Amino acid sequence: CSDFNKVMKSEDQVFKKKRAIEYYETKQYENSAAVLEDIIPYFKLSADGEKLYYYYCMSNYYLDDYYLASYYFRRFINQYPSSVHAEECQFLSAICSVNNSPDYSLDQTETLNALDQLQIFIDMHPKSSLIDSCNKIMDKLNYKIETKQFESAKLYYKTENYKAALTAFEIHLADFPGTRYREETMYLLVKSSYLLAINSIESKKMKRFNETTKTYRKFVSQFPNSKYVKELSVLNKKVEKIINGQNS
Amino acid sequence: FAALSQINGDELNYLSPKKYTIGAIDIQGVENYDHDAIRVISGLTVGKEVSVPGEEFSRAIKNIWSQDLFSNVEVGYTQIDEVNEEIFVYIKLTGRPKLSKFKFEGVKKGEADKIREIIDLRSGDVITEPLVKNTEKLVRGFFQEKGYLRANVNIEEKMDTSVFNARSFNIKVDKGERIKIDHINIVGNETVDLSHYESFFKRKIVAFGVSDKGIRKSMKDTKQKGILRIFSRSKFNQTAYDRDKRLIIEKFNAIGLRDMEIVTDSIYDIDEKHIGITIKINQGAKYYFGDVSWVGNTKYRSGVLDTLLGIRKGDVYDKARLEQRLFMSADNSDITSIYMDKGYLFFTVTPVEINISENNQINYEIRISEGKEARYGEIRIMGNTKTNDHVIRRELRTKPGDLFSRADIIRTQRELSQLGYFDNEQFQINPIPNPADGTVDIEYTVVEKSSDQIELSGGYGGGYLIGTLGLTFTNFSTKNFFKKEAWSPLPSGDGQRLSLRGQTYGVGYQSYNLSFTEPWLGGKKPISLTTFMTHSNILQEVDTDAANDLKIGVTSVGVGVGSRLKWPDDFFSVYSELNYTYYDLKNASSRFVFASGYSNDISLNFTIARNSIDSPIYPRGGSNFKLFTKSTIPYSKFDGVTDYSTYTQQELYKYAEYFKIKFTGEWYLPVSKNKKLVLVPKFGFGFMGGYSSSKGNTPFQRFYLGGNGLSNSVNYDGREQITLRGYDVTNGLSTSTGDPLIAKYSLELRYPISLNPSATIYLLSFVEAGNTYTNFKTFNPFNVKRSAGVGARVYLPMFGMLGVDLGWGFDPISADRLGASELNTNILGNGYSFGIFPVIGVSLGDL
Repeated sequence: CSDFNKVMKSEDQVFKKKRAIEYYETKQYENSAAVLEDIIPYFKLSADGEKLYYYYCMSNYYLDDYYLASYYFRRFINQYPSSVHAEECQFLSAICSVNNSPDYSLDQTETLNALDQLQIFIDMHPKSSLIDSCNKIMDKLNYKIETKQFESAKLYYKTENYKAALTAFEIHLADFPGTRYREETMYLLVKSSYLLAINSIESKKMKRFNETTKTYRKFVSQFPNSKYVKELSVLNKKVEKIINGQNS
Repeated sequence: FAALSQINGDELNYLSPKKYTIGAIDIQGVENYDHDAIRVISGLTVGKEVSVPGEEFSRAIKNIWSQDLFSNVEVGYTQIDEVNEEIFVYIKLTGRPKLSKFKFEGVKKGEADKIREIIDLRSGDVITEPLVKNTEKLVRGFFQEKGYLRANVNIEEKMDTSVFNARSFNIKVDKGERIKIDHINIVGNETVDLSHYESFFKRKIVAFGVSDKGIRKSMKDTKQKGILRIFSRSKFNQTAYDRDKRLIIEKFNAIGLRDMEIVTDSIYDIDEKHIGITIKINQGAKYYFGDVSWVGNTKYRSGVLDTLLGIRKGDVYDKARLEQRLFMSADNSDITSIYMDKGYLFFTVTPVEINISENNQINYEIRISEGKEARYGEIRIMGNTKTNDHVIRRELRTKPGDLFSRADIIRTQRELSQLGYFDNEQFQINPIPNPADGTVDIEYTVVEKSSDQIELSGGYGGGYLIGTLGLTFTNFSTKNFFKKEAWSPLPSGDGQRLSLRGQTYGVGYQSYNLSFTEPWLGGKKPISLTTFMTHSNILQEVDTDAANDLKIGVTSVGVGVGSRLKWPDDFFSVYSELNYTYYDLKNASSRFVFASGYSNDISLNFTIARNSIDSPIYPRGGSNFKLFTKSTIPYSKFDGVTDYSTYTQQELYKYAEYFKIKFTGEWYLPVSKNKKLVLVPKFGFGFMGGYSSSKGNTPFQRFYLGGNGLSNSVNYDGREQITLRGYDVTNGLSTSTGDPLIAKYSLELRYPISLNPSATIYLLSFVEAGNTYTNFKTFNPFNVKRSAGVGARVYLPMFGMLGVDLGWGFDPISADRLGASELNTNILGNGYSFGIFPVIGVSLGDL
């Protein structure tokens, strides 16, 4: 510790540089990050400037400080676009955002950020060997965003706000036409529609029951082999009976 | 690039540039920089084909220049080899000096530290002209802000020979004298005719407002010096002065003088330390409202809109008032709100001045475009880095598919703030209308704050110093309890409340408390489930014989279910609780009728409450009412015994038997215009009784009045301690074994010093009155003990509410009351007592 303090207090920039590299190479990232932060402005545009900046980024990355690391990776790429580390840094910058991306039930700013970063990587390095893993990660992140919207809609269903559930499920289908929750969404659409109708005032009931059979038919035509078909057909028969009873 | 065209004297033809390949790039003038790096930045590489003249060279200059490292950049060529079509380029640079260190002259050390933070100079910064000028400006600004209007700042650059091409700064400051505003002269301010104001007081207030004195008062940050000017010093600041001038104009505009202008204003030196300001104004003519006609309204008739607008012909012209009534009034009864609450999101209203008739009456046409009714589309929640979506979403009143209503949004904001998880000041609601399909998406952006509380306090009560350690986690998550990564520091985000509390003063008294609440049981409906456990032990040595020691043990467990109601309105809620309490007593005759033995108290209680207060910490509106009932099984009705006179105390109290009713209410009434000064009237009544007159009342659960109900051992021995500031606990107002009836009234006037959520501070003054009664015969709601006092509260998110009151009690205490023998004879005879009452927690007792 006292050795580190001596380095930090030193006015000899070359000595500090030497020690910073030693710290980095012996994996003392906390020390290397602190010293590098001090000397980077001094060595800007010198022969070692690029290497020092790269070490600084990596120190932060290894310290799991992904917010800081991601920021400095991006600055590194801007400053040294032709560096041999550029591809690696672009990728790691995206990985930082991926690591920061929280559970779907929390704020997804970082997830969207990660998606942007990965897309930039793919556009800039179309021949990279990392493209495959990029695609896999993006798929996972997109799934998270889908899940978030689907679960929000489902919460309205769960708390018996059927009108809100209907609107929210429809928005989900419109926003994510290829959603992995398509079957469940459409199933819950039929159920929400039914529950909304049955709890409605008389004047609105018929119109809403008609809606229910419409959504039911749509479901059956798209998922004829679904495990929900049996349950929904029973429900639909009930609805048709009510509609026919009203008409006769 | 000029250099390029001059060298060799060749004529370069700009109309037909020639192509060459770069043969070499020579970097000149900067030995300490990496030449390869400069080549890379310039964008010129050996072997690259460039046009001469061409934009590659100008771009190279631009690229290098943008590094801010060089004071001169020159790009040119030394030679052109026409045979091989090669060009030999040079880049000549002059390195800028770097800053090695800087110091201050003529500045105190404390000031220097503050300035360092402001100017943000670092060793290694490249010295440029703007850097020097900007630093000078920032330092000068720092001193001008402090009143040193004529501060002089000069930066001396010195060669620093220890490092190559480095300079050190010597920042020289001559603060000069601190300059005060000696006086502010107002010229040309005539007496305004205010005869049209009906109220005498209104006339006086307005007249003062536009008098010379009133004008000076309305200037918020520009004040002339005075003896009583302690908080805002009479310093001069140009931006604040410009802002204050606008305030003066607004003041006159508000009373119909809309042509009012500041003709000239001048600032002049009086002596070395003082300046004077002269403001010359011209009031101009006075205007009034004329006819108002409505265009474009279909939802409401013009007559209705006239009433809502509330402006009559002949009223003094006040543009701010008109805009307030049209767009945004404090009570949300303005025209825009009325429409917005009915789904008309795309509603717009434009007041147009038609003409000015005689008597300076301004006639208005108000153009309304109602637009389509909008429904909510997607509701998004952002910024929740800790709290899960569903915890927030279930509180939102804006539901997809419903008609847009501004009232919903305001209510939602209120309710989210009551969760206590978010910073109210940074809360954002962003409606995103999609006029194409008539929907509006709502984006709620929250900023999480720590809502957990630690209570660590030492209190003095009953002759002991009592230590309390309490932890309250308001946003706990049991679901994540076994997830390792969720422990940072605690699993959170599901809105559950976990509270742990311990209190002790040593062997003599210990109390433990554990409770857990899930606000949405099963996640379906807002039905809360609370479970809790408490245990407390009191041990008091009476004399040397251990057999005579007083011992009280109280253990309690309970489970409660609560729910919000939708009817009669959705401010109502109910709560019901099943509770089992076990009392274990030895030699406790000084506190209860029942001295030794045990008692089982199995009770069911039920509370119905209506709470519409607008903020949990400093409410500025709304009210809170609560009706509480609690009852045990009426055993005496079933056991067939009518006369219990032969029963021993143990037999009598084996199963506690009683019922209890409490009714409390409080209002928050803002009395000042800015809604800061708040009047809080409160009342509370309590009553308990038994089912059999022969069996009598239970010895436990009785009311005790007096003191602050804080940190006192008596809190946990089965009694209900109600506060009455001005009278302390040991010299309390109730009999030593407690009373079954209580009445209490109080009136508080509060004023906030700071509404900052990280430290809410307010002052209060109070008058209180209350009493307890031994039975209905002596019950008299007007026979009360009165007190008055002042106090202060500080709310810190980590510690909750802290505060202190100074209270004076006015009335004598009856001789048969608690601890009367120890009483100060003054209080008994003359009725005068004084006390300091520390406060922890939001409310003072339950009544």
